Amino acid sequence: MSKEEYNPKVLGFLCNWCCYAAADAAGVSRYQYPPNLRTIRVMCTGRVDPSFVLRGFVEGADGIFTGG
Amino acid sequence: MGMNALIFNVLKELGINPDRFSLQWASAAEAPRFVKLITEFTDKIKKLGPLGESEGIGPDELQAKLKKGLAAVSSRKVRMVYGNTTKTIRKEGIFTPEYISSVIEEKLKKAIVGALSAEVEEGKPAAPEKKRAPAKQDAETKEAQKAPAKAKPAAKKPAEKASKKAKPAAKKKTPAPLKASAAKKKVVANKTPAKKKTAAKKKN
Repeated sequence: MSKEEYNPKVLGFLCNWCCYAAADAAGVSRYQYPPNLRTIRVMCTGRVDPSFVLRGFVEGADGIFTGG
Repeated sequence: MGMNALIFNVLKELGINPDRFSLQWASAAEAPRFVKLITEFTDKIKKLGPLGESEGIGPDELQAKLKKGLAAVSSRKVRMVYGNTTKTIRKEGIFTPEYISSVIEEKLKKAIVGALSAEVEEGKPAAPEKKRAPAKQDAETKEAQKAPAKAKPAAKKPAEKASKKAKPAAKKKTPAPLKASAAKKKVVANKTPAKKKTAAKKKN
């Protein structure tokens, strides 16, 4: 598989009040961004535990983005 | 920020590129910034390839390593050291990312390496539970030494209450792969009240 075809699985922990709203606004204002992001909404970035991230990697994520 | 540094350290120990994890900020009004961040991050991951490829780790070994990492991060010892470290950072009042990561690296390295190597030796999911027990007892004795003697009688009542509450919770906590035999349940049930006791003492 060539690198152009490769679609990484990116897991995103997005804060309800910050990045999640930003992602929403980006959609509303029709900005283009890669569709590789799998979003998990958390009520606050402080809710994200180190074990969540490790579990994300165990379940097969190639990269994990945490957005506060 | 502390969590960031902890995950970086664990990933480094596991031999995984820490660039695969990113902690960024974008407010609700910063949609263009979010788009920029997510595009950059996806490009970076695309360049790195699938997990384990750029690191040169096979899929089976990778799974084993990651599970070890997960167990290490969830272990009581690492969590306790991490909690204490964040407390000291708060006391010092220096919040630059460099300082936080250096302190976390310095204080947690031993605990992380210890937690990772403990699982390597035993190789079974049930093993870390046993291994952690002496460490916790040590912690308890330390707490007991710290706490003044007069706090003891007052602490008894809440501790009794706590033990009643803790028993069902402890049973729930034992994960399925532990092959939860009755004996082990008892061990866990006995452990948890001890922990609650220290918590009660702290309050007093």
